[in-house]
Amino acid sequence: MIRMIAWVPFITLLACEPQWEEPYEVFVISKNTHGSFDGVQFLQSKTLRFTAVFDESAVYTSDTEENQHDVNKLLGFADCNSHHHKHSARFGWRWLEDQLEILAYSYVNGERIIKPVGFVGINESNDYRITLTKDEYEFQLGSFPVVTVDRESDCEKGAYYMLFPYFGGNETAPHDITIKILIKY
Amino acid sequence: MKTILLTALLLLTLVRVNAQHFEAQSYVQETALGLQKGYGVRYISPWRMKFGIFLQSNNNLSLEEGVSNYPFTGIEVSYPISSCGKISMYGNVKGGLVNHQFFAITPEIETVWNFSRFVSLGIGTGVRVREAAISGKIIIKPF
Repeated sequence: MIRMIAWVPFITLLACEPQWEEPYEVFVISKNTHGSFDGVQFLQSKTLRFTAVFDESAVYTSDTEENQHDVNKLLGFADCNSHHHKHSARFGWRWLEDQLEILAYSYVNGERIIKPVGFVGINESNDYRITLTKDEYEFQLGSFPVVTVDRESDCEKGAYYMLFPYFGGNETAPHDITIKILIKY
Repeated sequence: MKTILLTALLLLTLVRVNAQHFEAQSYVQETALGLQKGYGVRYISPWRMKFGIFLQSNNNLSLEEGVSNYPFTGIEVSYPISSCGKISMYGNVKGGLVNHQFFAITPEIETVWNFSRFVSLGIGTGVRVREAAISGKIIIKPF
């Protein structure tokens, strides 16, 4: 009898259907917020590689026209032991002129540097890469040309905390915005 | 770094006089960065806290930096949470550098089964790069 009971959990398990987990991490920037606390994570190597997918929620209209040019943040990291407003490298994005534009968004010695990288489509999966070299941050989006930004941090060993999706700019998200990201190791 | 770790490992495991206060461990840990293999030594304090050094990496304990290798070296602190017979539970914190450059810290819970005087087996769960990590280890007390 006991042996029969012992088999019950195994038989129950056989009845289960495998549930394949969605490989992407889904980040939702709620309406009227800039983002949410997404935990603490540190960069683990000189290259941050990830795939990201924007859906229709990435299409938005700012309250004031000039804010439409503001750059929202996708993913990146603060440089070695620095605050991200001192030294950091991130991909940025904005919906401008009916296109989803991707930009390199960096702080170098406290100075904000923004450079265009390319364009992506809605519901399109794209590969992103930021490579940390001694003197530069290299940004690459899919097959678009590599964009570089000078790096001035002289620190090497330390904490490179990661920076997650953030809306704004000045304004908060006009509606819920969903971005799916898969960090690749 | 590898030389330092190996020298420390040798010194700590060969000093017979104090060996009862040390243990060597070998383990595997499944993480978001892939399956990592590791080893280390820990000093067991009189109040059962453990302090150690460790090395773990994807490619056969290689410290070489690579696209898919994340060598992680550093120090470890274990705090006894509870104990029942031959089973003990510890809270662990590992901190150190990944790829010789990038700071990392990982909290873990470890359950150890002390099934003989010299050998223990452990399983653990932890968090690495914001994702769950599980590990299995063998712990050897040399003398």
